[in-house]
Amino acid sequence: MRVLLVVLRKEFQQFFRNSFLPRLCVMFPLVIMLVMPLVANLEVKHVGVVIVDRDHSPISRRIASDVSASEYLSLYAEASTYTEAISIVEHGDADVILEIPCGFYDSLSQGLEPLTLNLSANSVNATKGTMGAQYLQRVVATVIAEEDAKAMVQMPIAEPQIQISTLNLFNPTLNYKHFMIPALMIMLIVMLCGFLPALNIVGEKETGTIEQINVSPISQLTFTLGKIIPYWIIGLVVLTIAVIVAWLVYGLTPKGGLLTLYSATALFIIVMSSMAVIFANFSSNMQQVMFVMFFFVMVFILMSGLLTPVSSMPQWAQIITYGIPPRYFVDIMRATYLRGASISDQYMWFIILGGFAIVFATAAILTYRKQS
Amino acid sequence: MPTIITNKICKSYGDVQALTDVTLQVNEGELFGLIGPDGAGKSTLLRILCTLLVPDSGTAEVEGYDVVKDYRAIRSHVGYMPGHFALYQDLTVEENINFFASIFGVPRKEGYELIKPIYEQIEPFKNRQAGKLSGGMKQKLALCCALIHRPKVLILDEPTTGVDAVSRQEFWDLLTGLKKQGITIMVSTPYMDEAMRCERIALINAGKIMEVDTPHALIERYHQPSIEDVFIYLMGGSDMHFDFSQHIHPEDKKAINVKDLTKKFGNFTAVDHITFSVEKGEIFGFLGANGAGKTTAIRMLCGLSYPTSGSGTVAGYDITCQAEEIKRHIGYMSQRFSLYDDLTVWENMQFFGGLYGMTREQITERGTQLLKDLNFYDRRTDLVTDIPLGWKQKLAFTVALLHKPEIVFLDEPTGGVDPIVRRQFWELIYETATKGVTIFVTTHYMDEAEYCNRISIMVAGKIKALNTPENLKKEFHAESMDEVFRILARGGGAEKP
Repeated sequence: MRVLLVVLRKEFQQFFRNSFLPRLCVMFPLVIMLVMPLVANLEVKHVGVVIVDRDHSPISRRIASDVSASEYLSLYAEASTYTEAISIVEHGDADVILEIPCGFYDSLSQGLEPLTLNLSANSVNATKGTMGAQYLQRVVATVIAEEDAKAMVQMPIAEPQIQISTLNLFNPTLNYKHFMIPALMIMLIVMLCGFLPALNIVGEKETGTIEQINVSPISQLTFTLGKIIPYWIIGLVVLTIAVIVAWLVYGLTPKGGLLTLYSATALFIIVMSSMAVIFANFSSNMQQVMFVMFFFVMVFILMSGLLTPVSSMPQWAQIITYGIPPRYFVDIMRATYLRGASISDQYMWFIILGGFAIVFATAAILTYRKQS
Repeated sequence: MPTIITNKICKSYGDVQALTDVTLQVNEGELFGLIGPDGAGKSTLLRILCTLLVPDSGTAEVEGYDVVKDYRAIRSHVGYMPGHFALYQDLTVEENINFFASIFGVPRKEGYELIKPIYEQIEPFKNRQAGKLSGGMKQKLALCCALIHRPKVLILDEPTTGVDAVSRQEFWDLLTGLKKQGITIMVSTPYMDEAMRCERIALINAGKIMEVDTPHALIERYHQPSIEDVFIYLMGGSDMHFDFSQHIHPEDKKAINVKDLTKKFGNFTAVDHITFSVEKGEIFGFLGANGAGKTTAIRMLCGLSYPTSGSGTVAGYDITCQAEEIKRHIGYMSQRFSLYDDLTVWENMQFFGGLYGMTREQITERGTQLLKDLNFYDRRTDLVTDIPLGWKQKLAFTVALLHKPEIVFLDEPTGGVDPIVRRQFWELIYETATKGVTIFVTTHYMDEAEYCNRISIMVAGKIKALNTPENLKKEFHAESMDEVFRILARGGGAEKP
């Protein structure tokens, strides 16, 4: 126990003497929490629209004015021919073309066989293209529905089947930030508690100081704890900074309570930093450990449901996610922050995360070899 | 006309003045030595001559070209071999040579005539990766690479640091051969004995040139027995010849006792059935060429590495199953400097003492005493990184003594330090040994070998000789330990492809 305190004191002396690390641990969460919710936004805004208006009717003008009024669309130009519109898209000035055929208004108002609206989207950027097309459909549908109500005319619209998913995205932007904030906290923990302990240990290997530790009678357990505990504390401090920013700047508080939040994070940090220690134990230089760690961090971020929902992954991938510890952490964090779930509501996930923590920490202790 | 001229060169890094008013001339075809300890400014000067650094003030010319303005011309006329082998460790010998030939844009056969005598020595290993060569072989390969574009001037930065005595000898033979072909060579080294092989030398310390002349002229001028003594004299060091070995009385008790100790890595046998014992309180020199298996053997004795077979005890504990007990009773100072750079001396002591379960009071008491003995107590709050190398080595030794070990293992403790520190270090070792602590030390300095009570010489994984220095010299009819070492290492140490 006394030896552990000696090791911890040394780790913190080194940490605070480093001119870079303490600043990193404050600036990193601040920048990520202040900037990323505004930037990392899957919503598509200001999609450029070209309208080829052959109808020149009240309804076509209403569509055009609604498009320019929309926050999500912006009317770039009105073109007289489709070819002209295409060239505008090719220049990259707009992404969606709406062609309103001649006699469209008449067909509506007189209840004739309805004419087809032609909507083309540039899907080089698939998200922007499809989203833009969906927004535009929604605008057109609203205009026509209103016109419909007035004229009591039956009016079919092309491809009505994708309209439903569009609806959510018209929710205020705020909700998307709320969705992202717990995710960003998780990324902070994954990055800091994954890379820092690994680099610390490999750093000792590279300078040769680890030899001096290996010839001392320190136990594997003490050494490993001495490397995990500092990052456990640092991780919780980083979480605190992030929680405060979320509360002050975005007014978001964990509805499920701070206890739930902190206990889940405490378990997850043990998993992450133990994993870092394991990789460091098998690596002899920074390059190796960085790349191995990076691979796993990528997998963790992309497969844990952090950015894309697990339920939309293929079946085989969904099965794999059960073996990925952050999957449970992501669920807990979102449920705690947004749904207000407490520990007792999600005790199964806590047990699983705790199980991972025990397995990984044990492996970290056992893979550290003082004798080769 | 001189090939290299420097005129009042100054260079500083932040607050550190690395070179002050360095003025030198090296003549065409000369073998010129730049002699000084670590941190004296040797590398800085050589890097300025190679156009890798720009001086703060002063001018320098190589082959009539200015090092700042005509850097392109200089680069094609100069061959440079930096301190730590500039080789690609994962390319083979041949691939390395071809690569360096291609970056200088010369066909390989053009430079071949020049490197032929050197290349022939490494040719048997031409398909081996450079990283798997021994230290001496790497040096030869690096020299080939630096010569491939047939430079007129060759600049070598500490080519022999960390290389054993035999390989160093061979390397200097090669340099003498190159000089005969008319190449001007400027070489830096911390080894004072190598100075004797240069035509003229410059003694440099703390960024200042102290003397420039032929080695013999310097020795005569200062009435000293060797260049090392000239150096110590110029640095103001006192006469530190002391009589060794008389005040050490090893007890008739075994501190280390091993039998048939063997370590294999795959099908390579690094340590091959070594059997020896070390008595309590003696200074035991463990010598051997690079790659002879010394470090592997020490690692087994310290419980860092499992023996493949064989048995033995260290401080009375079994090396095969009581490694952790051994660690409580030994101190270890490794080849690479092993205190934490970003902690103060005092914090390092608190940490390492704590690792051995000492209480704060015990550490404070013992640490105070050790640092006072070393005259370093007032500077105990200095960061290790700011302390000169020589002091660091002495402090690392002191820290290794903190927990009162019975045996201290020192793996090349004096590599690269100046002669004064080297002597002070050995005084420290003697002081420790008189208190009954067993010292197990490896070194490449053969003069240090003479300070040991007994020495063993390891060649290719086996102990070829073990006796007192006097008896070994008699046995091999040699004048000095250096000669004994060469006879043994040459005999059985040839590397096989």
